[in-house]
Amino acid sequence: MKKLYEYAQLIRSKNAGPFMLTIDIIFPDEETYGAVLASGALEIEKVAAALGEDPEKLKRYDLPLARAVKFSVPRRVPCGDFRDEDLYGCQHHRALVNLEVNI
Amino acid sequence: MKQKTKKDEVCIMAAAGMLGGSFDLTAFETALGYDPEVIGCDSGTCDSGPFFLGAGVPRMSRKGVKRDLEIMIQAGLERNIPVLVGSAGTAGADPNVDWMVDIVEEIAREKGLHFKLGVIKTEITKQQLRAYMEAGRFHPLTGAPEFKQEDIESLSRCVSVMGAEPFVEAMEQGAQVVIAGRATDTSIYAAVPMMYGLDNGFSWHAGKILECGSLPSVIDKHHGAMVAWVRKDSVSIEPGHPENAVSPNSIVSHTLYENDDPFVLTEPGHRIYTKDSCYEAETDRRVRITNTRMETIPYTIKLEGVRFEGYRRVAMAGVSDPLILKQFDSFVRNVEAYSRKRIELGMKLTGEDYKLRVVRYGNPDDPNTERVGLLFDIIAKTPEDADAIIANVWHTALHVPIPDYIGAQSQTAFPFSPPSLQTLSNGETYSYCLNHVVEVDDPLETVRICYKNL
Repeated sequence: MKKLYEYAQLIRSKNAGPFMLTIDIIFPDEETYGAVLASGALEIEKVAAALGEDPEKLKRYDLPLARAVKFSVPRRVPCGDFRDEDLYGCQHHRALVNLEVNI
Repeated sequence: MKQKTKKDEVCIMAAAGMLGGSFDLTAFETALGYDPEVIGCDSGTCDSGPFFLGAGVPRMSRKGVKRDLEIMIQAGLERNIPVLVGSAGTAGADPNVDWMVDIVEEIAREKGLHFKLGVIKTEITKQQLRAYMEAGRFHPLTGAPEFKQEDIESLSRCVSVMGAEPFVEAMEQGAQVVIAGRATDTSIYAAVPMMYGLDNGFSWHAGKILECGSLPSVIDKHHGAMVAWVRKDSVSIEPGHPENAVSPNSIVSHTLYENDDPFVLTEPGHRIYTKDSCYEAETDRRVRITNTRMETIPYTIKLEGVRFEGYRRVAMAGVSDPLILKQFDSFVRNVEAYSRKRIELGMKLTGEDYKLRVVRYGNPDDPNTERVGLLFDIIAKTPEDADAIIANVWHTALHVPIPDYIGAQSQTAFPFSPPSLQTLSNGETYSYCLNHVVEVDDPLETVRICYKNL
């Protein structure tokens, strides 16, 4: 069993405006992209559970041309709010780095 | 200004992804060599949070912005093509626009340049906002905080995020340089094609790519200009610098960036669909996009608004003693509780009067941890209260005892004197309170345009 970071070329998160967060997972080649997608590791329910987000609010977009999968979710706290600990939303992907992928 | 006859192809260029970032000159000159009809640059973002809108101050340096503007304005005037800047001074609020207009005036004076400057302001007043709410023309977007009529008074500042039409209006009135308040990033680039009869999915798709300058390159070796050729049925994209290239993969990858939905782009009055877009390499450096669709939608304008939260002070400390680290939760809880008690006793302030949080960095349970960081963060109603509260907090943290020791204890390592800091502008702190749109009859309804003959 390997971890997601061992297959991806990039895992990142960032604000998409002050009220949304978006996570991009980009793979180095079509074969890896296809295999990770087929493994089911990036199904909404699994990713939502890893992130601690409501699967109803998490949206997934597949971009085969970019060999990428994107997840977007409303921020629990708006960017720059007193409770916010990550202004640019740059570290919200951390729970996915070690996500188990069974190919 | 050139004749606004319809054209089959319009070449547009972005000087860079962010004004003031010191774009590459070779990229700029090479892009100009393609005879673009406009030089555009975005100057704003709401990514850096509510402070810049609330305080009305820019994030970029005056020197950096002046350097970039000087090059753009001189090139624009020499070639008789407009120079468009959107979201002036980070937030695009009135003081941000004034700041940039002052820079433009200084450039004109120093270089002996004469031209017509268009200034577009996009702040809206509380009265305007109330009128939209009363008319039922104010609507929340997904995830918007609740905002009712009684919240209007607490609003510090509100900008409307304009579309391309105010740029077109200013150019039609003869403005050679336009400094605009908050504008959608794409509208800067969609404006000139719109003026020449090419208001289509390709001009907006180009704008979405050009707004980041050459960042969508395969490797952005020399950041700066990006060029697009907008047509009725396609758009081609090429970076300015000859050593930069775009590929279908790099362009598509860029549609992901800082964007929640990579396939639908909603702009004032326009919606652009890129799910079926086709990307093909036209050369080894240029990509052609076809099959992007656009539909016109009821004209709505997004609002960005902030409210004032108070004055912020912070202090940072390191904790290394393993006896403290093994009971770190209770130590931190005690720091907070003892601080609140002291603040109540000495300053007569309760939890209603200020906010306090302690953010931890590092894992105290890891046996290899040498030090764990603590950030004490407070917001108070006056700068004086804020100074006194943070001093109470860090001084309490210094001496909160743990039961393992007997006698006076000193627990936290502060890296400088005084141990507290304030953020910019005396710690003024704001929060976003709007993520709404207003319906308008006229795309110019929320903006004020004036002209200066420099």
